Amino acid sequence: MPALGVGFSFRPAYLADLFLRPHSMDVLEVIADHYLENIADRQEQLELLCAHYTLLPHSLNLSLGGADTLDRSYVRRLCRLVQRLRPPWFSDHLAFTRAGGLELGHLAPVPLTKEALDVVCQHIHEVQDRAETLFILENISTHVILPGAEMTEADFLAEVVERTACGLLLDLTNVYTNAMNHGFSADAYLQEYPLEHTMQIHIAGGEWSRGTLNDTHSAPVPKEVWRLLEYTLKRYRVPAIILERDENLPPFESIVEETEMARSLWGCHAASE
Amino acid sequence: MLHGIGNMYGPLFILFYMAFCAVVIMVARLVSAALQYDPAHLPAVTPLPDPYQIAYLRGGPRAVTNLAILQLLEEGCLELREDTLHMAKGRHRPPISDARAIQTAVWYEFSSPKLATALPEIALQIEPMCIPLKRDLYHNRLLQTHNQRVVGLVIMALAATIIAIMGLFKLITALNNGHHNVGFLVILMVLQPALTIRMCYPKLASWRGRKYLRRLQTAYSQLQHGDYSQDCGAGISTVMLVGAVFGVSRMDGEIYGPLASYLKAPLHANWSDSSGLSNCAAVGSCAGGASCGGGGCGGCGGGN
Repeated sequence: MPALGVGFSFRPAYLADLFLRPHSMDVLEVIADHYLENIADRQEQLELLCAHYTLLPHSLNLSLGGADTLDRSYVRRLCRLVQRLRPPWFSDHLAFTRAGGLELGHLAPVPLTKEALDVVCQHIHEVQDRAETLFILENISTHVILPGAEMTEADFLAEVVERTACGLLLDLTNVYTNAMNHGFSADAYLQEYPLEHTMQIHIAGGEWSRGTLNDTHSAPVPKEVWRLLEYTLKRYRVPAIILERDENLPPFESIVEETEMARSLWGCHAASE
Repeated sequence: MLHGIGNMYGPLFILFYMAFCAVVIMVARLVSAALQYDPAHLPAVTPLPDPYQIAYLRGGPRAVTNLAILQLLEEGCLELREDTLHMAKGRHRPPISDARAIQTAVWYEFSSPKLATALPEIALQIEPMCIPLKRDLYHNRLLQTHNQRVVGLVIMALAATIIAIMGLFKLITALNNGHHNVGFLVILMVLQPALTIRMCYPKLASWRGRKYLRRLQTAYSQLQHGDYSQDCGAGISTVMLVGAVFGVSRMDGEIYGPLASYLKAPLHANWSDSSGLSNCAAVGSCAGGASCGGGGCGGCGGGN
């Protein structure tokens, strides 16, 4: 897999900045759902980005862990977008967003059972076959730990990779958030995690509210996540790192500063390989 | 089918004729675009090209003149007072180091205060100085070549002829049938060439050029109403970038609003640099048939 470098999850507010500081990002992640409709402005924006950057589509609504069948229309539009952008891979979450035909409006955790594993694998096969592009699966942050788990999340992900030949998107902030909220060691999680199949890393900053850490993508990346990034990169050189920021958007300079910090870690460990 | 059209009831034919005009014009535009289609990679949006080149691509010498005025105002070489623009007192000439011939020529034009209505004349004066800008744009296939323009003109003429033939056919049929209430049809037939010219006249920019300009406008759309003070790199200010990409007459705010108003003044004299991609002089048009289709009682010699 090519080493793509470091970039951020594109937000339209930074469009002009991106072109006024053209070498600040190596790669961009785009929220696929924003570009599924045929809206002229957005399609022009996407075409512009695609002409200047490697884009990594990241979708939100595949609902891979749902008991329902996949939304055919959504999958068709997503795959069409992927085929148009020709990215090295595209991603979605280990979650379900739809149940009984209803949209939940958020990413809900998948029970870590063999039955759920079968469903997720079947759905990934369907999507990957249709898109003819590598799919990568992201771990999410959860407020609850579902009872009845038959394996750890790391084992679950390893099994998914084994059965579907997909890749992984390691969200370090989600690992950190879960570790904080559910009282486990993030380092121990990463020890178990199948890093050698990781194509991309997400980093972001969340906010504490009533004793719970929320993955809000609204703050700078915390020190602990930087440490986890360094720890991960020491073990395996992941091809791409993406900084996420959705709320409290800071000046572009701050985004660049954080991506430069990530790049220095990424470059440093690439050189030491 | 022709028999059916010939005997069509007057007001119905007026509607049919307007739809026919729209379809023919649309097809002519599509054919023109298809003939110019060029799938080769467009130049990158960054690093920024010369703002004067972008201005020329967008609106020819008129937009270049406006951009030069903007730069001269920025450098304090021109002053805008109410509705006249003139050389600033105490400044002898634009800074020599980066003054280009166009800027200097425009500056000299304002040795006496000028109203905005003088701008088209100034644009004509500086047109020969735009040759180096055009050369680079041609090199990147961003401007229409002579051949492309000729083909465009032929397509436009064909479209106008087809529309005229249809009108003429109906007119003759109506007159032969003894119907003389053909006023609306005649008005439409007179107005349609103007409409066709307005819609199909070959543009200055090629298909590639228009696409490239749209990309620039997409990339920098946020700067349009934002903070013009930052530097865009390569010595280009945001003011010049916005003026080049969107047109000086589209700028707003306390500082640039008055200049935009000044430049918009001669709009009625076919002067604008914000029309973007058109090189077609504003001509009187039927405005979608608004002046021709009302009432429906005059008819055009309908058969019944």
